[in-house]
Amino acid sequence: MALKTIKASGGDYTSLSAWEATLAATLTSTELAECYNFALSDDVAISGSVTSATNYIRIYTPLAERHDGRSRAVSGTGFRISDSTGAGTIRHGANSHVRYEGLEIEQTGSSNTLQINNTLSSGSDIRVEKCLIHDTLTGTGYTISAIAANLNLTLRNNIVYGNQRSMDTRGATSALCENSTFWRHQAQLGLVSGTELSCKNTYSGHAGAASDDFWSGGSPTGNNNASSDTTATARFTSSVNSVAGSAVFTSVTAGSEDFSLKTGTNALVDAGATLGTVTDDLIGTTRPQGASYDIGAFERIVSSAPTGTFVASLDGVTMAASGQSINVGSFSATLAGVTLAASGLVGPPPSGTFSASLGNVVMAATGTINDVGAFATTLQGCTMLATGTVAPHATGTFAGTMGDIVMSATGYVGIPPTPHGLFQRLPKNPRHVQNLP
Amino acid sequence: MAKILIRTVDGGNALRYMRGDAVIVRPDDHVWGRYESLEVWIAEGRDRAEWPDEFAVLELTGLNEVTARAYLEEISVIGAAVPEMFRRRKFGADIDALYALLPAAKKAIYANTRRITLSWGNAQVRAAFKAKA
Repeated sequence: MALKTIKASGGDYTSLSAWEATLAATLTSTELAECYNFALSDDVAISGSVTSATNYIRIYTPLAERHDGRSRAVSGTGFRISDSTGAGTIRHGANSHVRYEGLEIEQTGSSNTLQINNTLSSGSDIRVEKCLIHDTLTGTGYTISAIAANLNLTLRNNIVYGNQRSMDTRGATSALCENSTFWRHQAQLGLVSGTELSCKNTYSGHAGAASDDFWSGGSPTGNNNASSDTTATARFTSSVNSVAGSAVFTSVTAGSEDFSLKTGTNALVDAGATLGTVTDDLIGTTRPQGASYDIGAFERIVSSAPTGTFVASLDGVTMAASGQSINVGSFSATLAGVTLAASGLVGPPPSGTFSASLGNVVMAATGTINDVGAFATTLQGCTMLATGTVAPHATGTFAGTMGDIVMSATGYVGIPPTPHGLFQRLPKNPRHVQNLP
Repeated sequence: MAKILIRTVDGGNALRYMRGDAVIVRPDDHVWGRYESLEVWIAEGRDRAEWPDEFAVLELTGLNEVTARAYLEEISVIGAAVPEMFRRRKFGADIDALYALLPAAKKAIYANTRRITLSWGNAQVRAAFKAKA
C-alpha cells in the first residue's frame, strides 16, 4: 500500500494530477492519495491504470482536514478540487476500482463535476462517499455523469447540488445510492435512471417549477426516499413526497448551502430505513441518532435527555503522613494518577456545559528539620484538557485554565542565627580568627 | 513566468503520460512537493539517489500561465458518443532539445535540480514544443 500526501505545501505532491501521473500501468498495490485542507484549482483524469479489488485507487481527505458538510466557500475549510476549464473536474478513463471519500469536487466551467463515462472492466467498483459535489452551471447537463458500461457505482452520504440536472446513471450496470442529498436551485431533473438504480434514504429536491426529482425510463428499486415533488412515492416504497428543501435543511440558498437538518419537526428525521452498510453520516455522526435513520447525508444529533447533570466529585480529601524520625527519614503524601473527567452528549438543543475542576487544593510540606533537610511541594505532570465536539455550525468554547496558583517554598533551616552562627561576618584578617570565642 | 511540471519517463500505455508531457502549470511563486521537485527533495535532507526522477520543472520566462495551459490539452477519441481520452497530451516537449539549449553552468545545475530555465522568446525553445503525430 503506497500512501502519498497532496498538500498546498510541505507534502509529497501539490496536485492530484502529478500524483496520478506516477501510477503504474498495472497497480501492484493499493494507491492512496491523502488530500489536505486546501483549494486545488485543477481537473484530474484517472485513467490508464489496471486496478482490481485488492489493488485499487483511493483518494480521500482525512477527517481532521475535510469539509464540515458545507462548501469551502462557505465554511473556509476542507480539501476542494475545482475546475473552470470545462473538461470535467474528475474524469474517469478505464480505471475500474476507485474510491473517493471526503472530497469537495466543484465545476465552475461547462462540464460535469464527476464524470464516469468510459467503458470499465466487468466487475468494476467505483465508490463515492462523504463528498460534496457541486457546480455553477445551468442547463440540462449533469453534475454527475455516470453512464459508463460495466459501471458498478456506490454512492453513500454525499451532497450533490447545483443548477443543472443532478445525476445520470443510465448505461451503468448498477448504481447504489444511499443516504445522499440532491438539490437543484432551478427546475431541472434530479436523479435520472433506468432499472440500474437502487436508491435508499435519499432526498432529491429542487426550487422553481415542476421537474422530476426522481426521473426514470425504467423501474428503479429502493425505499425510504423523499422528494420535493411527488416522484419519491411514484418510484419507491415507504417514501415521502412534497418535502420542501427550505423546510428541512438549514439553508438551500445558492452560495450559502447548508444541508444539515433543521431542528424541530422535520420530515426527514427518523424517516429512513436501517442500512447495515451505512453506520455514520457525512461528517461521522453515528447512525441512527433517534428512533431510526434520517433521510439524506446528515444525521441529526439527538440529545440523550432534555436536561441532566452528571457529577463526579473528589472533595474534602486529606492525605497526611506524619510522625517522628529520630534519624534520617522522610514523610510523603502523594496524590497521583487522578483523572477528573466530565463527558457526555448535549443537544442540540439545548446548550450544555462540561467542566472538570480541581480547586482549593492545598499542598503543604511542613515540619522541623534540625539538620540537613528540604521542604518541597510539587505539582507536575498535570494535563488540563478541554476537548469535545461542537455540533455542525453551532458555536462553542473550549478552555483550559490554571489560575490563582501560589507556589512558595519558605521555611527555616538549622539553628537560629547568633553572633556565633553562620551569618556572622568573619574578619578579613586571618590572624584574628584565634581570638574568636 | 509559468512553471510547467513535465514527465521525464514514459508511462506504460498510451493513456499514461509520456516523456515530455506537461502535467500541470503553476505560477511563478509556486512551491512544489518533494516528489515533484528534486530541489525540494534535497532541501529536506533526503538522499539524492532515492528521488524517483520522474519529473522536471520548466521555468520559461516570458510565458504566462494562461498560454502555458494550452500544453495541457488532451487528444480525445474522434466520434466517441461521450468524451473519451485517446492520449494524455496533444503536445510534447523535447526535453533533450531544451537541455541542449542550456549553457554548461545550467546543465550542471539541472543534474541536482531537474530544473530548466529558458526564455520563451527564444525560437528554439518554442520549437521544442511540438504537436504529436
